[in-house]
Amino acid sequence: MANASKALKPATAAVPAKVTAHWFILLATLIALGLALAVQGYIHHLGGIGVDAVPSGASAGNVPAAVSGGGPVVDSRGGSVRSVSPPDRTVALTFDDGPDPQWTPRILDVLKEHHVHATFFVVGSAAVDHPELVRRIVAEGHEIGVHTLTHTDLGAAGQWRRWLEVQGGQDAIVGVTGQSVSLLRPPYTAGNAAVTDSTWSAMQGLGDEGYLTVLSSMDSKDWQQPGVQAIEDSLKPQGPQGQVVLMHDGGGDREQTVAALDQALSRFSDQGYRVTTVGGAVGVDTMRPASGLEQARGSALVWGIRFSDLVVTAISWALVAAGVVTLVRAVLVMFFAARHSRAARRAARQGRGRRRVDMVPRPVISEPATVIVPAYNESSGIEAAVRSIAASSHPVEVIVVDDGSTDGTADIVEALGLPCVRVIRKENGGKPSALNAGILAASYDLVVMVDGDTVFEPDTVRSLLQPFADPRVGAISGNTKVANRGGILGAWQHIEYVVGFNLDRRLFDVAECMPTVPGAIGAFRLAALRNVGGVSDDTLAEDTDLTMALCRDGWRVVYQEDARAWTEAPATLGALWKQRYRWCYGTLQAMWKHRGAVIQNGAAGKLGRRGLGYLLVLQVLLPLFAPIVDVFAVYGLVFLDPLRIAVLWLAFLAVQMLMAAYAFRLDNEPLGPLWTLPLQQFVYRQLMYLVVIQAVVTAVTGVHLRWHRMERYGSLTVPDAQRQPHGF
Amino acid sequence: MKAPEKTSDQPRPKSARGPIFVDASGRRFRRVRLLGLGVLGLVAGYVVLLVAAFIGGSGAPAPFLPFPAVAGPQPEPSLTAAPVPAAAGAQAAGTEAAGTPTPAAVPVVAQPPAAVPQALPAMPPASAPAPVAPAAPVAAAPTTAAAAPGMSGTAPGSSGTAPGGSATAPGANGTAPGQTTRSTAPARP
Repeated sequence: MANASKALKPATAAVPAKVTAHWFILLATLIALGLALAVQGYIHHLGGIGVDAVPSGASAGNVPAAVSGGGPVVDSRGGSVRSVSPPDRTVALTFDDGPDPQWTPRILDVLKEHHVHATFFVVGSAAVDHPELVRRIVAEGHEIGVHTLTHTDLGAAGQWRRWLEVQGGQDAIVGVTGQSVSLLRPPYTAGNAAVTDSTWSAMQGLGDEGYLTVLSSMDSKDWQQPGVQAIEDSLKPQGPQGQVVLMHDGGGDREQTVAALDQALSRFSDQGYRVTTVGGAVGVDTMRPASGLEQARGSALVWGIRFSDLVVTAISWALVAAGVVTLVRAVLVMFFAARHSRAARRAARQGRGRRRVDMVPRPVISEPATVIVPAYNESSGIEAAVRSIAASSHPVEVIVVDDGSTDGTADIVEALGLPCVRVIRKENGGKPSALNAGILAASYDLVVMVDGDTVFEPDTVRSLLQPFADPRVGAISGNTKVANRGGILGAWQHIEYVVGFNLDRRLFDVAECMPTVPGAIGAFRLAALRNVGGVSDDTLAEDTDLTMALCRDGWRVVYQEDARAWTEAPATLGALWKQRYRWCYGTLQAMWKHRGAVIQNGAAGKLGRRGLGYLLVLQVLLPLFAPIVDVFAVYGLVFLDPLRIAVLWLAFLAVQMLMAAYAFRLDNEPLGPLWTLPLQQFVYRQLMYLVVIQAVVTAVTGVHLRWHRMERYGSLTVPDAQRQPHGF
Repeated sequence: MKAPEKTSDQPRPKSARGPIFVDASGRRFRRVRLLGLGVLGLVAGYVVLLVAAFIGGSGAPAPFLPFPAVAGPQPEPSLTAAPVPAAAGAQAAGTEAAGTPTPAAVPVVAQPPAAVPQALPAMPPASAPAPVAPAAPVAAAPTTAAAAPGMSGTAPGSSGTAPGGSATAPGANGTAPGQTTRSTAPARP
């Protein structure tokens, strides 16, 4: 100890007792995550290639004649308008909506076969997804143009989004090919006459950004998939005029396009038409190597999108895993709880009190027991607690260990003058030391440990001790109930306790891996306690630590559901936080201390692999992942089908509700408080996972908590300031 | 009472090292802080990446003149804001007509030149000239680029709309690909 305190001195100076920076990091990470989700959602879910025939605005009154009646290549910069058509007997081939991993290569193959080049108006997001296709397009001598980042109707989009879409499309192309392009085809446009006011206003703005808008004069209408012949027919020019042909290599099944293209190219060749790119047709060079700055921004966009995709994919899988874990847990827990409850009922019917049917019934346990009540400043509740225990139907000796209380707790107990109650006064040394003092003074072989703020029913002790009829049982957990369940916080904790004790604990019992006998109510064999060296003060959760030690020592630890102890739950969020922080941190300590059990054989191995595994997954990893779930839920509501998200959420809520209802039924509790369960999703759930994060960060950083020295014991329950008198 | 297996293999450090998890040296804390800073750096890097990608200045490629090699007059490539009086429109139309022997060009003249492209007033033409559509085709298309400037000259007033539409129509045969079915349809009858 001297060693430790010596080492602690510099630590207190170097290490702050409170770590807060992780909240900032968490917040920043969540914001970045939200950003990644927003990017991914925007790229993949907001745009999307729809049917091309969506007019972006009915009226076309403002469209100048040079556009509506001019050639399909439009230069609208500087407020002026010029438009051109390809020269006679020249066909500019254009493909929209690609690249597509299935169809673009086939179209490229056909073009190669016919030795012609075409212009591909690529969608930025698709270009990022299939960069190799875009590079192949360029490598084979074709021309590239911008078809926006996500195939957005520029006419319907606001100014900012127009810019984003076009610049993003450009950046994607630059990022992938290193070439900057200057041809633009706004999605959902076709011929000049179809240009609406809104599209025109977009074209105008983009003319100043340095783009030539390419409309089309000959629509293959291949997106309607009218059949190869129909497409081919629509590509038959009725005169020598030059044409800009619109076809699609992405956005759907392009089998017909590929076939029709092959035929049309043969015919064009036969008829002496020159087939080329848009730039080639009008005689301009539309692509140039990007500048360093453009290249940098292009790469940033491409990698930003890729990283966002990666994050979303990873989270999606993690979400699936979390969902599966949650469901598996629900099924497991309900299955085992049902088994446990059936066994317990059968045992009860036999009048033996013992729950194992597969065993020869044991004699009823009637030998007296020692009840140890460690108390530190429990003046408000100690009287009710001690009186309720002394009134037990089972013969008991009550030892109240006053752990240096300053509020006269010991005096109160002594003043009661109960014959079976002894008081031990000692210096403050923490709850484990108080328990050990009680163990030393115990007169009987069976020991019950109770918190000073817990009230027993008359039959609680008798019922609690019955499993000791089985000599393999070393410790027994009772059923802790929340006494102050009024108010929403009380109701929430009530639900949590009922579920925790009636489902999880039954599972632990059946699986023989009980990690905790609650400090509020637990029974132990004195021999077993002595064997493991009493209660250790290694952790803040001495009850968990002790239970794990007993499990590893080969003792069975079981759950007795009708041994009820009524406890008072924290009444404020602050108090709840403090309590749970301590529990969580203590549990982590105990898990770490007993980590060796994972590779042990026998009972210890069961605890290590099943018990610790369960705790690790459901009480550490899931809560750590929970904030991401919340952020993802928002993402889902914004970018995915909100209805589907809501249904999914309701489904999980229904599972929870079902579990809780089953637990309530097992415990014969009225279902009333369950209405607060949906509200748990807000506030309570967040509090629970933030506590876990706080505890994990504290543990990982190894900072020295104040609890480690002083008030570790006083902070265990509701602080005095917030304590209400017991209702008992 | 069979107390299974003795406890020999149980580690009982008895708090020789102080409380579990507490690192008195503070080394772990510093290491974690470094890790936290690393995470923060990654986050910041990602945000910077996105900002660079999406908020970058307008880096669009420098525009260039798209109509270099085309036969025909291209004197008035861009009328820009100059609100051309009716005469100009007529003149432009004339040019056009001259260049291409087509009656179709005529309707253009009829439109009050509304000057700047954006100028809206001249809405009516849209519907009016429509009937002429079938004839118009030959007008613009053949002249290719040459015609275009002419058009733009007149065009600003949007009045051109209809004629223009018709101009392309012939070539494209489908004029209004995809969506415009409606606008062409009336033109045919």
